[in-house]
Amino acid sequence: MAGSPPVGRMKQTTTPPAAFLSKQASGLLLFRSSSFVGKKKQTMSDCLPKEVITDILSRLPVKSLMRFRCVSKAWCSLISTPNFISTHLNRSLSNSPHQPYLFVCHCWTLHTVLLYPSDPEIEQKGDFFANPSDRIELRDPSNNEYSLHLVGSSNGLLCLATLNFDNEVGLCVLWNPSIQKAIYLPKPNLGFDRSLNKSFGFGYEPTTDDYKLVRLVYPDTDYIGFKTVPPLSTGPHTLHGVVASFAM
Amino acid sequence: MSSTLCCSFAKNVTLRSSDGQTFEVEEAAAQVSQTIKRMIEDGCTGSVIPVPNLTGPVLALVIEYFKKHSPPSDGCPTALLEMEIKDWDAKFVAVDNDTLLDLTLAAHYLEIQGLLDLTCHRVADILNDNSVEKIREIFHIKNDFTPEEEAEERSKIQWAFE
Repeated sequence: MAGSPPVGRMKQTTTPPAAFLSKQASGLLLFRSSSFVGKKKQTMSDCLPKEVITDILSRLPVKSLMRFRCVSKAWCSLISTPNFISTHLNRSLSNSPHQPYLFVCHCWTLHTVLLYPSDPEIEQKGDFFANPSDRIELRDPSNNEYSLHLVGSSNGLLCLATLNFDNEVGLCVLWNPSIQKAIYLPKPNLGFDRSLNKSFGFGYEPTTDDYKLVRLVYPDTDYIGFKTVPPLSTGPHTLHGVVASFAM
Repeated sequence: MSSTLCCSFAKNVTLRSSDGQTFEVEEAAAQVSQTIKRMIEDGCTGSVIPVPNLTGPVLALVIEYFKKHSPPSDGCPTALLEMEIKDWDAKFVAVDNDTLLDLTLAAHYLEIQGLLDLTCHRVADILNDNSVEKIREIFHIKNDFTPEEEAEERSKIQWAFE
């Protein structure tokens, strides 16, 4: 079953967000200047307030931010807070009015999903994301009898899922290519009626600051509405603001 | 003469740094700082305005910025003027790292959004071009990870160091 047809098209933020980082308590962030101790000159570079550090770091690309988690514990905490992630995302979005398109492609034989830009100029410069973050190896190769579809994308996150012959979700992955992290959602235990049609959607819900995967079920002829079921846990490695829930 | 009356006629204000140096500057220029603007509006211009968080040399630099960024007396700034100011800004923050951090803090204390944007952008550029070790050195940051903790953190994000 060779082949790698494009299965979706998405709009991608130029500088994707530093989402999917674990939550940690934020600490006071200081520039400590040991070189000035005991000298007459005391500069103000001894200490920068946390909001100024946030302002500075929110201007950096994701790859640099991931590296700078190793600078100190205080930097690591700050970069991981939901508030910082949100600030970074908003700055990235406001600085990127013209976002390039990316293609999503599932290679069955390699159990891999690839991303590549539609713009040849970007492609010539190399990978859109730092290699190898433009690809993800699927963890469950036994579940590859169905192609992965792009359910949706939001704020640089992708939601991919396999759909079986009854159009039900099997394997479901939330992927943040910019930080090379993915979570596999537990298979929903919802039961289904083959006579009903189903659609899926993925997006950001600002009132709860969550990402949602939603299922809509309807008969051939008529719409019957949503029914919410409890959210699915994403496990102990909680990823910022990501809660998947299904509705039927 | 009451202080209110003094305010309405004053063209200049005097700022005093933490080390006692005083600087006279046009009131309109000083109002580039939201903090100073509020103090002027509250009628503080009859006496010297203390700026206790800034040393003399830093306050002198900030006053240079005030002068360059004070609103033009003859209406809207032209595109040419804006370009000239942009060039001037780039040179203004091409300073040593300690001075740059001092200016960043000054912009924060005095609420000068334009200067804060300028300095934060410059600091971010410097950070982006340097290694973790170099950043600790430049910005005097103490590494409080144990070697084991740092090795573990790095192993989680190996790709970011490639």
